[in-house]
Amino acid sequence: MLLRYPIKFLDSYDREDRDLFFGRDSEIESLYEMVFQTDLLLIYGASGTGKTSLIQCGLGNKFASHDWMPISIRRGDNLNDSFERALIMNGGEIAEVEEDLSWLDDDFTGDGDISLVTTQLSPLARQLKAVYLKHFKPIYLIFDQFEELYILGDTAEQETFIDTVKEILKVEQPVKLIISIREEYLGYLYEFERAVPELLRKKLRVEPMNLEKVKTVVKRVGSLPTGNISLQTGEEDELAEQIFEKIRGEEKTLNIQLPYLQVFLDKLYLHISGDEQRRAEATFNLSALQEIGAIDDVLRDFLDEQVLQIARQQRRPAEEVWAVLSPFVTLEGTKEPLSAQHLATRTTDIGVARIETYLQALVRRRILRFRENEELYEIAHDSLAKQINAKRSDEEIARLEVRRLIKSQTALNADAREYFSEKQLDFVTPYLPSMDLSEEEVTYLQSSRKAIVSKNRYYKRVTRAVTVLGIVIIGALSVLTFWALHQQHQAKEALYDLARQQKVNAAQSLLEHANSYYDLKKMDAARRTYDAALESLSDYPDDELYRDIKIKKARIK
Amino acid sequence: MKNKTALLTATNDDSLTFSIDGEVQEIRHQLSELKDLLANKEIQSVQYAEKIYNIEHIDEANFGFITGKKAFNEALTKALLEVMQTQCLPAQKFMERVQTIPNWESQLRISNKAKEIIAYSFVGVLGIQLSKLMAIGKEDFSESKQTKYISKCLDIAAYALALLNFALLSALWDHQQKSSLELDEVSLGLIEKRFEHTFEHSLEERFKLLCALYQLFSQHNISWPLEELSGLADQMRSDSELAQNCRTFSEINDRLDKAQYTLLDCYEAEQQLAQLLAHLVFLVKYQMASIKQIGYRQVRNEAPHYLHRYAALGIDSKANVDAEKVHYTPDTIFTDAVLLFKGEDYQHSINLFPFVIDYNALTFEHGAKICFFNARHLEDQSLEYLFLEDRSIIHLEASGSLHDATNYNELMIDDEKRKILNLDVAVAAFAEAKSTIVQEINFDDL
Repeated sequence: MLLRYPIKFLDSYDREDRDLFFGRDSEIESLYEMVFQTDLLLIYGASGTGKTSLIQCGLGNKFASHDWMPISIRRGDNLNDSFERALIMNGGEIAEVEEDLSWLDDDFTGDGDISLVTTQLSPLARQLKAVYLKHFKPIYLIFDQFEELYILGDTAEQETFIDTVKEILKVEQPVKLIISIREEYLGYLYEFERAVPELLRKKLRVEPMNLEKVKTVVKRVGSLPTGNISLQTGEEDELAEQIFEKIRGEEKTLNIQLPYLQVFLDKLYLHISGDEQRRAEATFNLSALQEIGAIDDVLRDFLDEQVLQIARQQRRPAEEVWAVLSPFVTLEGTKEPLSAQHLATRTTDIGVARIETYLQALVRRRILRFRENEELYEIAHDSLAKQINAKRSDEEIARLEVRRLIKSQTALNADAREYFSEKQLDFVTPYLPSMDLSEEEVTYLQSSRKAIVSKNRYYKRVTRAVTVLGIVIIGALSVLTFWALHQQHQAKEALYDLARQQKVNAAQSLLEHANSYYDLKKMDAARRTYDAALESLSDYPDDELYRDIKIKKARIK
Repeated sequence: MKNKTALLTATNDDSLTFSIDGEVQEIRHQLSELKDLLANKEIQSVQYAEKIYNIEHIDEANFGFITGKKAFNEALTKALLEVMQTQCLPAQKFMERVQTIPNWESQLRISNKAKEIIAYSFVGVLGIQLSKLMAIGKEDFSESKQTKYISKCLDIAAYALALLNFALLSALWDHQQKSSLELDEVSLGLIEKRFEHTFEHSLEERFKLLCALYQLFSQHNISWPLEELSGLADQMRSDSELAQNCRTFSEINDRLDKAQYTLLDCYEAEQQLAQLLAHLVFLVKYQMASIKQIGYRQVRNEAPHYLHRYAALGIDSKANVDAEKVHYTPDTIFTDAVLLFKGEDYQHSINLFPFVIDYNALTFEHGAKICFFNARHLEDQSLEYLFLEDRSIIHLEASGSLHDATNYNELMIDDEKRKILNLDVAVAAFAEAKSTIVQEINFDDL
């Protein structure tokens, strides 16, 4: 009998892997229970907890084949388009009906004549009905890696999808939705939940692998009757514990990620058997485990090693392999599926032929996975995506930011777009020659430039007009100020004249009074009166009267 | 004579290819040509898909089925639509449309519509089970397809008889509470066995119980829970077609258990199911619903009103909160009831609880989890309920929350305690149903 290699390597488990999917019994039972309690189920958990495997393998195997019609949908370029394609692939194509069979679309439930209810169904409802009638199985729409809708999708795509879900929940056929999302993106579901409150009513958190689960996995891997791996008798528990210790390293976390365990077990197998074909039998034992030594980061080591080997084989620098991998990862360190053609536009300095070679090598080495139906390549797991993200240079990150900046605008309707500012344009311009931009993106950038030039011209015109206006205003203000000062001066002079006149009048009166003292005896009084008159005019010594009084006072002497 | 076999190696709409003693023979896809070929070669049996068929067991009806020319469910679909048309408007309209279309059951688009009508028309759980049978019939040919198909036919027949038995037991329970009818020994034995048996009832046992209950109702003029049952008098005999259906199903079941089945058994199971459901076709006029929640409202100086929240049970039932139906009415309804009713009037219905339970309603979950009482557990005599979706077993046993001094205020305030209370009520109701029906002497009352 051909023995089977019981370790999945960075791939999720599907329905055929039920013998290899261990340690998840309680979560599978919970999930299965929930399916009968709701039509919309949310599954969330950290990256690497095995959400996809739990649905495809765990839940899938709870159902008999006639009770389970799973339709898995990934976002691809647009979730709504991908969903429609998935329905069509599963029998949801609304075929043109021959005229003599058009009555099949009629509603037969009414009391009167046959009414055309079915033909009034929405295209989506008709598609779902067509899928159901083709198979007669309950349909499970599985939206896997749902966070992609928020990482890569725009608001319009998200809103359309929410409307679609609302419609699905109303169709007559047995249709259920299962949405799987990384838990750090739960907050993004706020608008979705507001529109569809059912969304968070039934949810399951998929827990990471703790020691108990790791023990179960290791023991089951080593005891599979059809498997080619066994555990050294008597060392089973210690093996599992030490594997757990090695994977969690110095961080001493209570949990580890499933892909780390998969990669580690694979590494241990290769170390013992040396068989790259993974056909030879191997017995896991403590001494072999010790030889592997401490592993701080198995995935990083694995990735470095694979990239280096590919580079050596191709006699190219390792940086070139990293450059091919980089576009498959978003700035947040998540997966971004790409077609080979799309990748070529993102790595223009590497030839198409060489890109194809790299893609094949990366698929063979299980770093990339090829999704045949959509003809898309993607990183085998988010954990690898994180490692690739960490490897990026500042230059690469800047290039991705530039791409995102451009995409974020061109993804919007033309009416909703905002042109780049001069500062943004200065930032993106150096990176543009190495980017293969779409016609729409080029047009957008040209429009941005034109908008800036036009804006600058406008600013110049406005500045000139403002300057002239300023001069005019300053001139007017100067005239007004001069006039005001003049008026103020005149007023002051008038006041001065008035005060002087009052003093002169007073002095005049005193002079007349002093002149009346003809008696010599009264000369002192006359002198004092002259002094008082002089005192009154002391501020105006140039006045004629002042001089007259002085002369008259001198005559008295 | 040497025991030779003709090996059927290829089949298509026009021809059949055989290998006989290493020699390849191709004939037209007709039974008469096959019989001629076998006669010429002095061969009695044909081997196909690792199964051997005696030529004497092959007739025009099952020939196409064996060679793959006739698909699974074609015969059933046609037979059911023909009998349904007198009872069900969609079937009537459909049959009017296809009366001029020969072999409509073989045309995929038309037969899909017919299957849809069957699945949506037959009462609640039976409609769902029939849709599963249709799904199995559409799967690619395989060994497991054959076993699943036969098993599902058996299940549907068993559930149909169980549904009738539970409806009759429920009505008898109501009757016994008022009139204390003394049961004859045969009926008493069969009824007690139904309550106490530790193995799932066979189809024949279900039929015997149905006959006994039928006799009780007709002899004592007890009101029929389903009025159409009164018209089944001819079938309630051991030599009736219905009785024969049950016997044939048992034989098929034996062959299934011994892995001695062939494609002919799939065809036979389909035929038997079509005949059995033809007798019970009145079930298309009935619906099922599960009462999920009851609210109470009484405004000052006005009569009290109740808000019934219930889930319709059937192929189109939904598990959303929004999909539950509501009815604001001055009439009361039983809590935790699973109802069987004609037309739309669920308030004049048969309450199948505790013989049929909605486990999700008892545990305050949305969506329906409809379970039929199956048997008592062999060791602890707890109640075993069969979840019809996957035939998994749910055990119910009394937790002790119900006793003379039960503090309902304390139980009602905590949802977890209320769930336990609900499940205890189901167990208690089951015991009470039995003691009332069979008129057990309660020594506490002496």
